[in-house]
Amino acid sequence: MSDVPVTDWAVPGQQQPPRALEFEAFFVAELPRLVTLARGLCGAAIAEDVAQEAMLAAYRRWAHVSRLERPELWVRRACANLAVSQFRRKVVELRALTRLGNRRPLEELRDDNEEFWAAVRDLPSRQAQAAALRFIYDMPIADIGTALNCTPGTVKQHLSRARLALASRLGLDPEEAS
Amino acid sequence: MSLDERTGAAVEDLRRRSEVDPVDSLARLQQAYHGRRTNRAVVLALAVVLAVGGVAWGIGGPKTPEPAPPVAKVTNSQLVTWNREGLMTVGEPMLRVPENPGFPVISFSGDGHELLYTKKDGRVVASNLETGTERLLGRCDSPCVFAGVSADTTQIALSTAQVPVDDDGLVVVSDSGSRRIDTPGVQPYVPVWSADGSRIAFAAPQGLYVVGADGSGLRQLLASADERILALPPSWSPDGRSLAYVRGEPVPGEDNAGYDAIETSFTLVTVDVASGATRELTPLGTCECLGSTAPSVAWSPDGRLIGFTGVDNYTGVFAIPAQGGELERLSTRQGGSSLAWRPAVE
Repeated sequence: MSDVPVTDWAVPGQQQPPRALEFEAFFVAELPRLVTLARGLCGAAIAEDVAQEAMLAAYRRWAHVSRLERPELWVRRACANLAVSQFRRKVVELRALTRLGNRRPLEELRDDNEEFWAAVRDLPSRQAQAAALRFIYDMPIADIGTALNCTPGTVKQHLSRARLALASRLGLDPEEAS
Repeated sequence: MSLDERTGAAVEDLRRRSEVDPVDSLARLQQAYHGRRTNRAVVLALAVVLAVGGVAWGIGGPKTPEPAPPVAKVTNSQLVTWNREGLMTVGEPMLRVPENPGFPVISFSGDGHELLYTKKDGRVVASNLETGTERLLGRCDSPCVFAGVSADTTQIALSTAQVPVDDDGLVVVSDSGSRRIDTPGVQPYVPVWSADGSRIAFAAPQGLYVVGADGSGLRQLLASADERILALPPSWSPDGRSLAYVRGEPVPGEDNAGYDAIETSFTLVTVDVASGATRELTPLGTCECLGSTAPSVAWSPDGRLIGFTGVDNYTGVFAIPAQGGELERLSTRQGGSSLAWRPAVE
């Protein structure tokens, strides 16, 4: 249960609803990093499909999503949740196979970077989501909390634990500054 | 290299190598959203392929049904669940258990000799638990994630989510060919056969349903409280009169605005198929079930018990009397999202 009074990510006290966005512009702007987020959390094979599925959900609910203060947080949350949910991912995989057809696969990462993202995917779900949102979007703590529906304190805890776990897995010192 | 440097390099590499064409993707999204009409050419082609039973269903094929044997005594043997680490057996270890089936839908043949599951390459197989020999039942062009095999292994039901058509329903394949079972507006997930092979039950985002194996009598037994709740496969009682089902309710007060992941409180219920009457047996825990397995349920072969895996405070494998009563914890290890109870037939 979140103690952050978030409702539809609306800014408290805001008088006017945000100007409705055109979905196409939103899609073009948001999709590339959404695919990156999905890939970080569930691997290259279905990253596009997961991102596409999140966007399809936004498209279906566009009348609602477009009026949110931060529609991009809504779709990033949808993508992050879908990416870590094994059961739901199976449904995405099925629909992707039959609907989206063959596509050029994403380029492979360097081995050491693939190792890094494999370590991220092995984190507990919420830690992985918080870490991926932080890394890929450089999202502020408050925004991560909004996206994941948890308090900033919880986000910091997730990030801290993720950092320790990644450092341990990769044989690095978590305290060493770059 | 510090962790921050390593992170930076990994992020940069991920961004650079994850580029997609958003214009092309948008066109495909719009096609997916708007293109709901049945592709008749594809349906006809699929029907031909499945009816021939050759290309799509490979060698071997399902066994031809044999005459019904004399009534035998059935008792309960091992429980098997599939989790991240593979197949987990509760009870006496079985001799020849496959390490890791491709997809988390497992069941036993009616005689208890074979484990039925789908491999990662799309083959639906029956694995003999004494010899380890695999018998090919069928093969899907796309992975048969939601393949339900009848207890006599003569029929395989697939959700149409797995075949290139847009209409909701099931496709049932057997030696005699294939047939469609339409479920308009309802997208079946895992189809589950009654022991006698006459009916199929399935969960869908809209709730719990049952339909005749011949496509007749589609009925909703329970409506889902929220279509975002996981549609988890039910389990038939051996006599075919009831279903054990994992019912979900959104947790009140939670901000469940996010897509497809809502905090859900699960309860094990039994449903009388004829009347629709429901009996609550036990809570199964609460979770969003992200990255973790969801509850699963299996009616015992002798009909007396219902086995289940829970979440949260109900992590592990349990059994409860089918009429209700005290829980017995069979294992503290986390079960998976598929549970099967092996029959021992004397």
